[in-house]
Amino acid sequence: MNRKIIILTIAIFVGWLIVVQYNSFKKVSSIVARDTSSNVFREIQILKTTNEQLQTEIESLEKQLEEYSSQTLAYQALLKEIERNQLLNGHVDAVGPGIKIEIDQPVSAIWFTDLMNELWGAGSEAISINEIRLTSKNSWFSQIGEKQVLISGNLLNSPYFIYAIGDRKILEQAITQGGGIISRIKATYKDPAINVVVSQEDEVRMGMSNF
Amino acid sequence: MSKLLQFILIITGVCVGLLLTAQIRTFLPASSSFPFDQLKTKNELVKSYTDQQAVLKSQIIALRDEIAKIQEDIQKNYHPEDVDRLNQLKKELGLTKITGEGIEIVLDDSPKVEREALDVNDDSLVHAADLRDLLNVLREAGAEAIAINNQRIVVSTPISCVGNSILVNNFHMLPPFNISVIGDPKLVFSKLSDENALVDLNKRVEKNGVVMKMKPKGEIVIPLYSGTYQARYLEVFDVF
Repeated sequence: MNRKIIILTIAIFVGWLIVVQYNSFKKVSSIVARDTSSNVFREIQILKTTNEQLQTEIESLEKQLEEYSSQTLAYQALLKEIERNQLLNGHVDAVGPGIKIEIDQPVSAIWFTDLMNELWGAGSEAISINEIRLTSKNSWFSQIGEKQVLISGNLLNSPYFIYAIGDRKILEQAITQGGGIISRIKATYKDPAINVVVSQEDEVRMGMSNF
Repeated sequence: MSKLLQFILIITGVCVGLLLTAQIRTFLPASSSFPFDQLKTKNELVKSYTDQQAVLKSQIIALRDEIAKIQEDIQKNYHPEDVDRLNQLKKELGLTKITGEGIEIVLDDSPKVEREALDVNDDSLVHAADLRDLLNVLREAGAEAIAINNQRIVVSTPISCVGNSILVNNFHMLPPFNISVIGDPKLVFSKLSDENALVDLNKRVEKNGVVMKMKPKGEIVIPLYSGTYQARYLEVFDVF
């Protein structure tokens, strides 16, 4: 009888361990999910920073309105706005500090979508992939087969060289943080192990968009 | 003790040992276990910032509209080509309101789940990745303009998951997500119906009750982008 109780107890314990271990594996697999559940106060930090940027934008627009309301300054304000919008939308070559990301093997289109999302979210002001500048007219990714990725219908071959202009430190930290997009890409492509190198650059040059 | 029983006990012991080892070595991501009142404070803070953001965005839209009116006068009286050029650039950047035919899409969590519940099945919820994938397909379909819950989407729009909520243009949103698309409805429907597009989302619509509805609409109005374009580091590269 004692033996039966011992066996029963061990069997229950084994069953419990199996369930606990299964749940652990489930949680671990969420690390390579496409969205991470971040620190609960990160949302507040993002909202606070965004509101500060919106306030700055309001001040800039008020100044612009003042210039437009002046007969002597209005045309200059117009030309300044044209130049700025050309720069933002990739109509002219651009330069600035930023980061470089080198990826040595093919990755799927969804990872490009997610990586671009992280770069824009971290404050990138311009992005290019293999010398293709991302703009409003060419910013979508599609997949053909397992290894071919297209950007707006154009083939992207590895290795990939991605450049982003913006605050170098913030951009690098945003994508290389633990559990971030780079670690998720590395966790997904293990066999063979993917090599992703992120470096800060004093000067990143990007050509204008051809689209 | 019979040999069979000994064998069973040995095997069980080995399994227990292996499982204990695996459990000890498995790294678990930290999960939030904030007390209820701290979460309440967090939600109140989020609401306060979101309300403030809505006010700031409406001020931005009003200022951009006022500037656009002055530019119209300049166009009529002085420099029509320059203003045309500027308007085209603004259109590309999402800085103008757009009206046209298109489709409206609704994405929502399964009606059987509560997003805030502690043990909710993630597969029954709409994720930030779903919205990003949807936008990707809509852009491929040549969408001229897109908005999510009246937030204009531009090339630099980030869409991220933070806790239970989703940030679009860093604006806090919860489902349902009403996605307005201006473009050729037939082409958009065709791309969305492609079995190779939105594989994961379609699977969850079929199996986990996530809601996705689409309908064409003759006239859709999409507001201008009310966020910011930063150019603190970006400069024109002038060879000479």
